[in-house]
Amino acid sequence: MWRTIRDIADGIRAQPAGVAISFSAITISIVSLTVLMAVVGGLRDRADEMIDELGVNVIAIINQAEVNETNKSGLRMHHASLLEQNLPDHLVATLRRYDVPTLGANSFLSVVATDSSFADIRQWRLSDGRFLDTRDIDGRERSAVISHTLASQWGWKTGDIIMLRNMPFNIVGIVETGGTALDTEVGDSNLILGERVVFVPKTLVPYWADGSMRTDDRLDAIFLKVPNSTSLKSSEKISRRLLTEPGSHLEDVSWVTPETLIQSINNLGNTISLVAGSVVALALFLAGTTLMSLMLTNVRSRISEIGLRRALGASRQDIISMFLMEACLITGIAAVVAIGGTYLLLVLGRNALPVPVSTGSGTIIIPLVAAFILSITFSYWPAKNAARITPSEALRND
Amino acid sequence: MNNSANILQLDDVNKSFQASHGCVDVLHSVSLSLVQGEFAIVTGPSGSGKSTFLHLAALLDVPTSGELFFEEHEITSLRSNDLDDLRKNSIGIVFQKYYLLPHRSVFENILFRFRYLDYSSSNAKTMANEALEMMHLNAIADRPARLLSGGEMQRVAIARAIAVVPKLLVADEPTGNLDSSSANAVMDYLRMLNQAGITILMATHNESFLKYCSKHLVCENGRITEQGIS
Repeated sequence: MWRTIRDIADGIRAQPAGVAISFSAITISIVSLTVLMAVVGGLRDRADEMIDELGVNVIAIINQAEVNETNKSGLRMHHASLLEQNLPDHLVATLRRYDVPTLGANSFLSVVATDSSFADIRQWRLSDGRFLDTRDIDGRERSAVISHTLASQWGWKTGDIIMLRNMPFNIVGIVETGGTALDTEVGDSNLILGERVVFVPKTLVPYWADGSMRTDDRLDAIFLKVPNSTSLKSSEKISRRLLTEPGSHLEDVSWVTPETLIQSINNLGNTISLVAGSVVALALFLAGTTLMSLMLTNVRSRISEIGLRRALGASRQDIISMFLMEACLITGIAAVVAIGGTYLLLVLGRNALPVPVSTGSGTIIIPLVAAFILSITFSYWPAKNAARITPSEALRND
Repeated sequence: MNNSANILQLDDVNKSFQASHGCVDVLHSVSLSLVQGEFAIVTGPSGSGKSTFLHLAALLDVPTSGELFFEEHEITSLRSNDLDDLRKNSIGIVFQKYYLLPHRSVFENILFRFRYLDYSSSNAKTMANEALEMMHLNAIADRPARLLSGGEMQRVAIARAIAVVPKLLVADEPTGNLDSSSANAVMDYLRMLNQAGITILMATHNESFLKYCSKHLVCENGRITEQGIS
């Protein structure tokens, strides 16, 4: 081992400037590859987070048109009923959202009128109390479930009475409404809801929201939880057919499924991979050719040493190994420096970056493997050339 | 046929090289033998084929045709790895240009003889030290090779060649770059090694060194003939 290190040190001493240039080129290329891997991995993680936040096997039908009285083409309560009747084993939850000014504060709360099954569909965890139940819905109880953030920020707790639009509501539970992945990537307020949310029974709203007794069955979204035994695709197909039948008056809605979320992330990932990947591939190729050039110069400048080594009994394989080891060591150190430095910066600065980044093992292993392949690929030919020279030729050419 | 007392035997050996303008014949029908314990000196003008002959003798190259025996081995029939093994175990080589590793010390250069041999580190160091002492290099053992004089470099090169006692020591113009006193000192060392039993084959332009040898070979136009010692 010590002998090998001495041999490599001799090689580096023979071409210090070349080694420095090669080292820099490899470092730059591996930094760019590490960043690319971190971003691609980050997007993949983000896709998983988004599915977690949406809920597994969940279809969200989101109203894109403005919800007002003149717009007759949006989501209505009868659309939800249609789904409930035709898909009896599915959980269906409706969502209508209001921005309600808060008492004594210059901000708005997101008040969401919904079903008792909404928290189950979104797979949210209750940190205290319970979610809305059928008694709240059927009895039009003034029960409210608040988000965990709201409870933390305003000190509200289960059992408190809060005022919403001058009406008292009894807090029956606190729910954790999930992370911010959907918020970042989708940006649809009907899907995300935000962090400061109050959930109230859907049956209460027409009487409470504006004090009128008018029936208002407009919706912002319908969530559909598909049972595990049923294919998500077939449920989506059936529900699409049901809601787009002639006379349903449903236009301008978007369908969000785990697949569409993954697709949107994949599209972004593919674009990044294609654009940044081309640059990284070019950087790796340039680093490889720099390394090859270094090794070719190294072989040429050490030709008498090769002759001496062969004269002292080195086999062709010994000569190949010597140059390959040298290339691997230069590349390996450059890769470790590049990956280590980049990894550290990613860990420290991930929150400041505009794209999600992963600091998983793939961010380290893939650039390391790429560096190894690069060193072997681009130094094998010079090493083979060095070994092909006969000892006599090497000594004669000096 | 190979005689068992012969350490080296060439039978009708030819050597040619491929050049851009065609094939260049360097050695023609060389037949000679070297007996164990001999001190053979090859003389001849530049370009006569001396170095090519020495490279064949040192197993650095193989003949284009003919047979070359090293002890009982016919080398053209050996595989490349077997030839490497034979060379590292049995042959010591001293070059006119020394070929030392400039950044390594005198001792490390001598130790380099063991780079491709399976000796333990302690054995290798002991043997390298013996060679160092034999060539009176103790005082400069730690000095980097690049700081040595020509005579010192050649003594280091000889020490490296004899660190593992070779069956044949091939020296290609070892005094070519040295002044006369350094050259004489090197020749004295070679005579001492020969007296210790090492067979030596040496090329030189300096005919005054013929007094050291037991066999004089003359190389001219690719042909080698044996001359009597006066």
